[in-house]
Amino acid sequence: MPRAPKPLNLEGIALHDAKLFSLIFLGASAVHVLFRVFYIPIVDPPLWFSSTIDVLLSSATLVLLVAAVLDLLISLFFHFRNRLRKMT
Amino acid sequence: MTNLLDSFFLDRNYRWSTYAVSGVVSISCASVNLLVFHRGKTEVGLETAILFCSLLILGVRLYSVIRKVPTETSVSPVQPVQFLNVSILATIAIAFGFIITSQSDVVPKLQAKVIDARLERVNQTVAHAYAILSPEQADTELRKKFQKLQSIVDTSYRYQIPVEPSSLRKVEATTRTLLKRPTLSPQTKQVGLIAAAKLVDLATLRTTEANTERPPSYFINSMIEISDKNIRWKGDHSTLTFGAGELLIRNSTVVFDGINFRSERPFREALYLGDAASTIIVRDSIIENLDQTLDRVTWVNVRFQHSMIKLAGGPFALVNVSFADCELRWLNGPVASDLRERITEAEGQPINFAFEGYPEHNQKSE
Repeated sequence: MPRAPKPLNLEGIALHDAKLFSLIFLGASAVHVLFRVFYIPIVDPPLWFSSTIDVLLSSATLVLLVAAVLDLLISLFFHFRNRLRKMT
Repeated sequence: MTNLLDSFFLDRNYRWSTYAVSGVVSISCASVNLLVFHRGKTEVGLETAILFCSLLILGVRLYSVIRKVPTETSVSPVQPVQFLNVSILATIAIAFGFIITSQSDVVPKLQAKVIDARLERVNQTVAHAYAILSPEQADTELRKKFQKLQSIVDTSYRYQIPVEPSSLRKVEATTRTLLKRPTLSPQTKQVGLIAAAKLVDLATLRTTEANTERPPSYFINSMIEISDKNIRWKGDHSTLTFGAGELLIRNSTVVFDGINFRSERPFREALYLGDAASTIIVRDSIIENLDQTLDRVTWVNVRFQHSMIKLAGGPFALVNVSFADCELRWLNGPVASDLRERITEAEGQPINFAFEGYPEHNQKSE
C-alpha cells in the first residue's frame, strides 16, 4: 500500500533549506580557506586569477551565510506562528 | 504577505529559482564592485547581504504575479522541530570564525607557515645536493633550487605574505655558503646571487615594516644623515630632488620604496648609500641625473636614467633594473665590463645582475 503524503510543514521546509545552505556554506568556506592557505603559497597563480577566485568565493560564502540565517529566521517565524495559532 | 510566504515555501521550484537568481545577481554585483571599482570589502559585503535579502523579498512579492496563489494552504499542526541542532550550531560557530578570520591576520599567518615550510624544504635539499650528485648534476640541481627559491620569494612578495625574516636570513646564509663553492658555473652563481638578493630584499622589507614613513622632505639642500636606524621610506613615485644637499647612510637598515631620486645638475654624487655596515634596498624607483656607485645596495625594479654608473668592488645586486641613456665609461675591470656588456646588450630592457664583491671589500664589512 502506498503511503499517504506527509502533511506539509513550512517550518520544516525552511529549516531544511537553512541546513542545506549551512552545509554548502561550510563546504565553500573550507574551499576558500584551503585556496588561500595552500593553493596561493604553493601554486603561485597569477594575481588576476587569485583575486577573481577570492572575490567569488568570499561573495558566495557571504550570500550562503545570509541565506542560511534568513531561512533559519523564517523557520522560527513559522514555528512561533503555528504555536500561536494552536493556542488561539 | 504571510500567505505569499507560505506559498513561496510550498513551491519548491519557484523557491530554488528565486534563491539562484538572487544569489547570482548579488555575487555578480559584489564581484564587479570589488574587482572593477576596488571598493572596500566590508561596505560591499553589507550591500551584497542587503541586495540578496531584497531580491528574495521581491521574489516572494512577485509570486502572485508569476504563479497563482492558493487561497488556503494546508499546513500541518505544530511538530517538534529541533532548531538548534548540530549543523546549525556549527554554522553559527563557523560564521563567527569567518568574521574573525576575515578581520584578523589568521590566514596570512597560516600562509607564512606554508612558505616557511617550503623554504625549509628547499634549504635542506639545496644543502644536500652536493653530497649525493656529480658536480655537473649538482650544478643543474642547485640552479633549479635557486630558481625555486626566487619563485617562493616572488610569491611571498606578490601576496604580501608575512614570512619570518629569520627564515629568510637562514636560507640566504645557506645560499651564500653554497655560492662559495669553486665548482659552480657562472650561470648558477648568478641565479644564486639573485635568489640571495631577493631573500635579503624580502627580509629587509619585513624588518622595516613597522617603521614605514614618508621622507622628511622632497627637496634636499643640505646633508641628511641616516645613522643607526631601521627604517623604510615609502612614497608613491614621489621624486626626491637633490639641490645642494646629499643623503648619507651609516650603520642602518634602510628601504627606499617607491621613491625617485633626481639631481638638478647632471651627474652629481648625492646618494652615499654604500656603507659596509648597512643593508640598503632601493625598490620601485627611477634614478635620474646622478653619479651613482652601485655597491652594497640591492636595487629592485629600478630604472637609471641619464646617470653615471660606477662600481667600487663591493657586493651589489640588480633585480629587474634597466638603464637608459646612462654613462658607462667608468665600468672597467672584469665584473664592471661584464655589467657594461649586459647593459649594452639589454638596450634599455630590465636585467638581473649580481656580484658578491671582491674579498677585500667583504672583509671590511665583517
